[in-house]
Amino acid sequence: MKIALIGFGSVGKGVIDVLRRKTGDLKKYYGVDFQLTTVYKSDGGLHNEKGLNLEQVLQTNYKQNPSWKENFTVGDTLEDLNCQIVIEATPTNIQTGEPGLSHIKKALGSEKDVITSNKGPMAVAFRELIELARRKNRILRYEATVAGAVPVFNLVRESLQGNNIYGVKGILNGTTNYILTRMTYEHIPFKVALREAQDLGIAEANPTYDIEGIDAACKLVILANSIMGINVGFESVDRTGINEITPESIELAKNEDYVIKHIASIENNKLEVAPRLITEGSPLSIGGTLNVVSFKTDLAGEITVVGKGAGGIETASSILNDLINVAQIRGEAKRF
Amino acid sequence: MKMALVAELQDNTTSLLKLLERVAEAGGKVLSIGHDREPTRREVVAVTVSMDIDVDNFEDLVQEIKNLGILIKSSGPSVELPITLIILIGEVFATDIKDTLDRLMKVGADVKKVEARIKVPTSTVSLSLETTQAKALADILDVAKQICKDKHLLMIRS
Repeated sequence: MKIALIGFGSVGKGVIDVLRRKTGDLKKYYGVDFQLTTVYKSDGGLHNEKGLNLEQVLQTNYKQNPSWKENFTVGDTLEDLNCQIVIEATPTNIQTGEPGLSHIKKALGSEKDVITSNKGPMAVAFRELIELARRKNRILRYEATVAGAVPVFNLVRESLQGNNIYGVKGILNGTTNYILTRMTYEHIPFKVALREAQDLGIAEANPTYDIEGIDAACKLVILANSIMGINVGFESVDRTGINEITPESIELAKNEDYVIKHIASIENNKLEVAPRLITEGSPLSIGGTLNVVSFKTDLAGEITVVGKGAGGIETASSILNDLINVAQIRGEAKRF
Repeated sequence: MKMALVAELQDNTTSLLKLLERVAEAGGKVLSIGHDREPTRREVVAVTVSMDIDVDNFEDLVQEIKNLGILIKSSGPSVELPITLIILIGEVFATDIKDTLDRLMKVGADVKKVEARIKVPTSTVSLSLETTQAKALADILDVAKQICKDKHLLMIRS
């Protein structure tokens, strides 16, 4: 199956690396051969109809790659491109969803299945994209948009069928989880913990999206629309950041056997991202940069999944699962 | 079934006795009695009576008490709710903590414990709140949220 990749950042490179590593296993266990024929960047693209040399793509400067084509852009070539699946992994814009939103629409509109890790388009235009995919009889998968490597949407789709899900709660941002974990165990103020996270590359130079809960809110909107069928946008999320949390509040919480976590929740159809008191030792009290998502269901009770929420390879893991899933649905891969 | 009602009574033993007699006549077994004395604006007290009683008898009891001219502020299943902890961060004292506590107690919060770490300008206060009514808990949290909005405090709840 021919694949085009849009975006060559950490996720894009992670996808290429994972495809390179797993070529043998994919053939052996699933009987599928994925050929990455195109990697789009903003000013051109790498393209080889017979499939790119993945090692070469990762090792060499892309403009020195013999497959590099100046002006081979998404706008000019995607519609007519000979490929079955498009992976959209460009940076997120939560206001407009662009340029990812246009990429996905173009891909679906030109009869290609789409896999994305880009939160922006899914948060801004969830219903529109799902409807477009349905009309075009295309598959749209977005496991990698929420909680990185942690299976969330596929878990609900495959393993919680028949269950009504009436609540979701979790830690959807590893940066804020790291900061609060450090504040808790080192008794340090917020600003010190943030600086530490920035020095380690866990927090961005401008950490606003993380510490104000914007990133988590975006993911919560996707969860609400997808899993709970609630038609909501980003503006519906009641959002409170973590920058006013004091070491004293952490100490007072600890006195009553609580920890403070930045929790994203859907309860009674209300969406909230806010610091919450979580019982110490409970699944939601997980620390470090981990993500956790807990579903309240009518039959299975509470189901909780924990794992790495970010990272090129970790996110690519979810994309690979979606790729195999799409190939299986299209009859191009067998079940393991 | 465990049921509870909150009645507004004159602050004397006779009123309470009359109420408890009605509960006994209805076949209820009193489990607990709580008082919430209003500040001395008037001599009334909100009394919460938790009881073990048949649901149908409870409805008749509530009606009978109302027929006596006693105001029932709320009635329904009594839920043993764990202590709800909320932490307030900000100018908690400078924005009149007494007012904050009064407003919470007015909607049925029983403030069990208050712990504070006082700093200028930002203090941190934890409040351990109890209520026996699930609906009251939702009201308490709504009021707490409004207080924090009015006073620019950060609230962290369990």
